[in-house]
Amino acid sequence: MSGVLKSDGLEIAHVEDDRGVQGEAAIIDVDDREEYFVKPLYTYYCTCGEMAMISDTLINRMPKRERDGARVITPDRTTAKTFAKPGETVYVKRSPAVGLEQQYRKMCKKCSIPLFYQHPSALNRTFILADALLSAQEVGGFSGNNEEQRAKKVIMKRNVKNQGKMGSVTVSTMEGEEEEEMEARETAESYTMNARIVHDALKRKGIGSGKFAVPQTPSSSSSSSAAAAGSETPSVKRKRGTLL
Amino acid sequence: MGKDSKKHKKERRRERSPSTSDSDEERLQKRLAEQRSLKKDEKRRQKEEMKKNESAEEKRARRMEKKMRKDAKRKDADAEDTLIPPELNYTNLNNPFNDTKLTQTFVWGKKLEREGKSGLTQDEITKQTSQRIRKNLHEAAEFKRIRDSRAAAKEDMEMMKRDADLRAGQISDTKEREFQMDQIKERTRIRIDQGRAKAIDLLSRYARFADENPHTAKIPDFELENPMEYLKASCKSVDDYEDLIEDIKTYREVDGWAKNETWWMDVTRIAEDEIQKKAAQNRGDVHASVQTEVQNMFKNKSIDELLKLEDQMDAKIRGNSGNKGYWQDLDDQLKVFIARKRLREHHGRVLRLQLAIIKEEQKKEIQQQESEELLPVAEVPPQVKIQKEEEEEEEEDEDDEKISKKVRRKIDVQTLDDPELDEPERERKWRALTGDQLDDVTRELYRIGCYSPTYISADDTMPGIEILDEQADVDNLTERRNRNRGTLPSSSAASSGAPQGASSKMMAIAREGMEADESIFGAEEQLAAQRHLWSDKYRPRKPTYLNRVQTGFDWNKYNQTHYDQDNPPPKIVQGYKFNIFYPDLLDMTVAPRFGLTSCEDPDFAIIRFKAGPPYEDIAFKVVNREWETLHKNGYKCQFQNGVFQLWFMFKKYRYRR
Repeated sequence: MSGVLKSDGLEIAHVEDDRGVQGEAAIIDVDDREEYFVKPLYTYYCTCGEMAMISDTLINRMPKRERDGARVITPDRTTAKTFAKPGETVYVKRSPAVGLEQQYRKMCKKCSIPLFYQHPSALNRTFILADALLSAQEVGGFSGNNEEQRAKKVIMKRNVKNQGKMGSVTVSTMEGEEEEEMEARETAESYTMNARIVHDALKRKGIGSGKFAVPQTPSSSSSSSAAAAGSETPSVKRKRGTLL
Repeated sequence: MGKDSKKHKKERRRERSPSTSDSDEERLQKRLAEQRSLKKDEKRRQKEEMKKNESAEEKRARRMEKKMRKDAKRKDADAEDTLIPPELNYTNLNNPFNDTKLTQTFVWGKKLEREGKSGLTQDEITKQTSQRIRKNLHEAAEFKRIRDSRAAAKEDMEMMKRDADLRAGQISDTKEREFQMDQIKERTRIRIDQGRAKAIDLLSRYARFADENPHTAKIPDFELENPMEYLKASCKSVDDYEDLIEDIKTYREVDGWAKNETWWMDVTRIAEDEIQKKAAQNRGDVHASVQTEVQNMFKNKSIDELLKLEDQMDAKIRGNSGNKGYWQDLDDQLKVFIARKRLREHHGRVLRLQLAIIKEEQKKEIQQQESEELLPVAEVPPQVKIQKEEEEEEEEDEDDEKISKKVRRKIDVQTLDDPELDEPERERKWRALTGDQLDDVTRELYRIGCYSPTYISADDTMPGIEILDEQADVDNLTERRNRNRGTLPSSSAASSGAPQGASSKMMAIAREGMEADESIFGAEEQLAAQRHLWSDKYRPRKPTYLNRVQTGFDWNKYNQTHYDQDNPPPKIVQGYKFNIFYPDLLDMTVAPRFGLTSCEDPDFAIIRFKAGPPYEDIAFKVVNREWETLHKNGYKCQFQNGVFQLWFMFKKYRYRR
């Protein structure tokens, strides 16, 4: 989930325009690099596991209300979308000198616990109740798409080839990898594939020869769990120190 | 040659006679001449007699002897001009070239004619040849000397070059080491800038600042925290502490071993103590209750007193008096305590210095403001006195934590939200903030943004409306959230602790009919990372389960022969009973499914249960045998009330001979 570019950076020239000498097919290579900053989106969940908010700002970086520890979603500096159903209107008594606070509360769609509230005087601001939302890491479990990513720089490479009648444009955002590295990686992967194929073949032969062995009696649950655990390989002693 | 010499003698005699006029001398001369002629005649007579008497052989020998004597004379006369080396012993008569004129100078007649030198005599020719040969030999010797000296000079140059290379090699080793040290410093700076500093980076920055600015009025560009906080924040395991100890050694090599020696030794000792604590090693012979007493004894004492106590303990250990293990362990604890106390005091000193600097700056600012208002001169002295008294009172009462709060750097909130700042720079600044700083910044943002709502008086509301109490509302919300979090799935039913109402019902259904031969089966197989299209909307989680393994005896022929009821054979797995709970399944109308896949061990298989959102797949490793699929043989596969039950037994084979 990366942010969408505001300006259209992909000004692709018309590849059929021949910029070289007329009558001769000129081979032109144009290499262009553009760097932009990718801000990840953070997903927050209710305590029951329902997704509650997607935001481009971490919750601990939003303005914090002193009185009750709530956080403010301000449209001018934070872009966020909330998933909640309207709840009840509540009057909260603050200290006697201050008075009452009227809150329009919004509840979780599943468990109906209040998550957000707004005030009648400023409906464009949404407050997040303290400790109401959990980040992906706090909820636990594994999800490949919701790991909290750090904001990072992405280099977009644009390569335009113009060969007379034919032409091609290549746009790539691979992180710093060059073609040579890609080729080397493909070669290594093919070697890995071959090794796996050979291993499977040898294993098949081994299984075939195993037919003549005496079949073992099935073991009980304790031994099966012990077999499943397996023995741990003694780890090699690691070199100490991190500076040199 | 002999005749010529005789002629010379005669000529000399004739030259002398006209000059002498004395008669006596003439007489002597005559007598001598007569005697000489007589001797000659006698010799000639003797020779003639010998010639007559001698034989042919004697004659040949005499002639050879005479010739050899002549040759010897000639050789002696021409000894200087002889060109034949003396080792060869060649003569005119004895040489392999059969040349009777070997010792004579060769005369190139035609060349002399061509050059117009045919008039030269033999002696002149010999002389010139000798001179030319001598010159050539001299020139050859000169060339040899020059060649030898050049070779010697070249060898000297090579020797010098080799020495220079050796010296340069040693220098390159030193330069390599220096380069690595510089790179260590550079990498530390980069890690701190990028917000991923390690413990060694923060400690070295703190040490360098405290060392370089003891009295300089310079405010640090980072937050001055207690070094112990760096250790607690960065080091989580024994490996981290061990790495830190090695890094400290490396850094002391970079900065010089003498710099901050006591401080680094204290940090190292504390790290070693943390390693021992985490390794859960035995603390020696001291009982746990005595340790508390020992720690209390160490408190409320200054460092000097503690050092004296250490000397006393060392004396006791050396003197072998009392329990040696006890005193040894006590000494170790005392050393660690001294290290911690010394670090704390050092940090307090640094903070006090910073506070003094800040106060001086504030005084300067106040003086500048007061200098602008020169009119009320009479009021200045009493205010200054009052301020001084207040400051003195404050200094005495302040604690280290209060000092650290005052020294804490004020963060410019405007900088963080500056629109001109580009994204990476802003992100870097945000990431560099600590927890407390982040809290302060967000509160400041709230105040600047004027987000506070307007409050209503109690009189303005409608009479019958419900008013929530602030604290009661918070407590209610917290309780509901905790109840929500309490129902989150755990990896196995055994570790769930106190199950909730619905869970207890499910548990009862699962445990129904449990027999003595069954045991709870909880070995879950780890699956690869699962990705679902719905994982963005619902939190994927694993279902809870309560599985059972059916065991029993297999009375096959082998076991019947070797065992009986009193001595039973080992039990085998006869079946499984899987009870998996899906209370929050979105679509209850679709039942979960299961499938069998093979695994590395051919005796086992992996059974995988798949359901819909929000549950992930779960798998177990089971015995790979054929199942009974008839209900009367114990097979059960149903999904009811949120519980998926799969019960099966393995087939039994019986045969008759």
